[in-house]
Amino acid sequence: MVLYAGVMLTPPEARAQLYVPPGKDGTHPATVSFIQRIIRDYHLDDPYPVQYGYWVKSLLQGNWGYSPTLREDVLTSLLRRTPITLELALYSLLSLVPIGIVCGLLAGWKPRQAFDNTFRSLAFFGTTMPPFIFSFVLLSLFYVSLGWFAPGRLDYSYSMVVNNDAFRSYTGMVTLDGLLNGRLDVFWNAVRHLVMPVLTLSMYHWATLGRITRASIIAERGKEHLIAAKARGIPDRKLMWRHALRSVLTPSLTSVAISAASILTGVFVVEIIFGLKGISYVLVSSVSVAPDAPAALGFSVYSVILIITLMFLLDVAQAIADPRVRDEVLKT
Amino acid sequence: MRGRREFFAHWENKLGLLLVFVFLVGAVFAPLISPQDEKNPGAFKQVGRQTDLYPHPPSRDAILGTLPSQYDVFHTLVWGMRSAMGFGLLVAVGSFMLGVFFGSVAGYAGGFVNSLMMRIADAFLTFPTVAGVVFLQQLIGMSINAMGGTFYFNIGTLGKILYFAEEPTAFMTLLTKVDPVMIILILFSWVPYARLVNSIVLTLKQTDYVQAARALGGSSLWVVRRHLIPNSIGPALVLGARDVGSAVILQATFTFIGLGGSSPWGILLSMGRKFVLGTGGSLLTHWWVYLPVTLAVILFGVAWNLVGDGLNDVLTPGSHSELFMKAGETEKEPAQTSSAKKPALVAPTSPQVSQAILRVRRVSETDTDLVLLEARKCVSVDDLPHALNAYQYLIQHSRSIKDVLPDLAQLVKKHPRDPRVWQTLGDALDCAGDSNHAAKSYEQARKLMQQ
Repeated sequence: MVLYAGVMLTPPEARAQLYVPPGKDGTHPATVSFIQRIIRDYHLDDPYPVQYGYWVKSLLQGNWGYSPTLREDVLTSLLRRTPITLELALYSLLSLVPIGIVCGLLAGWKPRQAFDNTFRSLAFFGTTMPPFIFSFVLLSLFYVSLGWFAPGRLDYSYSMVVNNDAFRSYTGMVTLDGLLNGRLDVFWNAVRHLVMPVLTLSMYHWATLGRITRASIIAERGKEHLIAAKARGIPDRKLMWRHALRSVLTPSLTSVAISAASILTGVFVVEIIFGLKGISYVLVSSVSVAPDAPAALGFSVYSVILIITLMFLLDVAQAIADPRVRDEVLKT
Repeated sequence: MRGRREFFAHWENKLGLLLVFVFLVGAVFAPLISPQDEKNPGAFKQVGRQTDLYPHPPSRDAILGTLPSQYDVFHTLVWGMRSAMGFGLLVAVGSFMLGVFFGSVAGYAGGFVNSLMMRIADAFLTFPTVAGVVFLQQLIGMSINAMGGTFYFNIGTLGKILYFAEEPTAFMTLLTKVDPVMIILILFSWVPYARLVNSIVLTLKQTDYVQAARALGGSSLWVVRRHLIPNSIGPALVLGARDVGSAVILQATFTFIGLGGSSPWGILLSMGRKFVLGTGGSLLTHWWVYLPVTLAVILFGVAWNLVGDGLNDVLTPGSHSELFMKAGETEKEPAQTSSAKKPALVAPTSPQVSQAILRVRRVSETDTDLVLLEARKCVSVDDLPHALNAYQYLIQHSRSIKDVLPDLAQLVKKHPRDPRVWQTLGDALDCAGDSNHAAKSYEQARKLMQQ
């Protein structure tokens, strides 16, 4: 487990090494002497491994470069926007993982019956509906026509409230901050803005996760330990929630961990569509005018870090769910 | 033969193939269906004044209406098919070849090299495609800037804007033609192929025929190319078919959110979005702005998904012997019974064979086709014509062939002088792929008919 996570950590940064030389040279189209100075300062004429070492060192020191389009330090900008992304990702994961697993479980427990058929058609809809089209339809229905939900993060009046000094920011996530400050109206407003993005995000991944769970529960149903448990007279309901759920939890969580990158990509896409200025804003601004390498590079590294964190968390969840993995971790 | 039957047995597969065919026709015959504007060729055609910023409903000039600046929706829809088909197929073929090659080489090498290569592949899974696309664009932009051009992004309706201080070199023109979305999608979607092929190769390597090929002194590359890749390609094809659809959807997504990409469908959708999402917009008043394109994108994805599912039924071993898997038998079991069944025709009384038949019976009892049950009922009451009818039905739909064969073998024993039974047995054998014995029983049927 630990080894796996360790190997996962290194290659992305090894790949990032390729980005360094153009990143440093290209963003300062200045005089020859200036470029020479940069090359000397950043050790750009050293062999690649040495260069890479310097680059990682500057990353670790928090020197991620200055973005000309954002007019801000890249790391500062990324960190400031993280809570927005985190809020969205958190709510989506919290809604899609339980719903996906439970739906897959119920559908797979009695395949080819009413619930399973509904599930399969819904899942087909979910996986084939492109998220951007789904969000398009959601926006036009619930925002333009009905006015129930809204894009963006908060209504203008509420963002004034949040930016006021009297409103103390604990986590940076408006929903939690609203609750912690005792401002239910802020919380409610933030929720109204989050419903559509979360729905869009969950739709696709819920279906994929549910399908995987369903497939593994169908394979699991015929296993001897379940038949034995049934023979001992354990009621069907308990069999499903206690015995079967446990054994399908591992493959399901693995599938979520493997698709962590695509979930995060989805988060970025949804952020851009719904105008939530999370960390993907750094990306958007970097393609808006002229090439802005530090922003794009910083964003790439940062999102890889986020994905690895996400994978790690899901691995931990999996370890908690699977006693075999748990024992292995305790041994090492 | 049997694969084709199985593929066409489901309406979903037929629908998928039909849709893909429609898109293919649209792609190939785009110039005939919607001729290009002579002066301004491309996926977009203006049918009115550029300054007219209001989208007009369908009319005779534009069958599906127009967008702001009077871009013809129908024209873009048709030419978008061509672009989508090309893009999707290129991405799928590219990542397919990359993944299959990487996975099989790693699997053949085995051991430490295999795990190292597969970890490298896994690392590609941790990278978000969005960042990759933008990054490649930055790289291209910077390379052009470094070579004396000036690169500006203006993604959305017009694409990139380029200024060159001097005449651009061939390399610079080439760089501007590169589609970052396509490259990044190929670069980040080959991993599933590699994993799939890798796991198959690892099992195949232990099989006798691969061992024999190696023992005979076949070179590594030859063994990989001749034995491992052809045998592991089926499941990868399934993945490839699904990838064609998802690649196009991703391309449209990137284009729609303004991160580059040149999907005409995505551009079309983003051009008209303000008439649906802007103030006073609604899904009903300007339906032609979004509905045709949305449907095209969704159907494109659905079509390839369905084709992928259909291929999965046919190509992936084990999925069509579901019957046996359900009964808790291993995959090898049916293979054994069918090979043991062949002598059944020559010497139907050998104990081995009757055992084999018994084994098949036992399996089928747990989950038996209703038609098969009906056929057996008919046999038990000596209603031969109806029984044969039912068997014919099963054979035509490739259902429960494994059970039909021994049944017919017994039936032949019971009615050795009835040509219809021999005929049906021949059909069943043909369906099971045993054309040798099929020919024999047809011959028998013909002889009996002549008598």
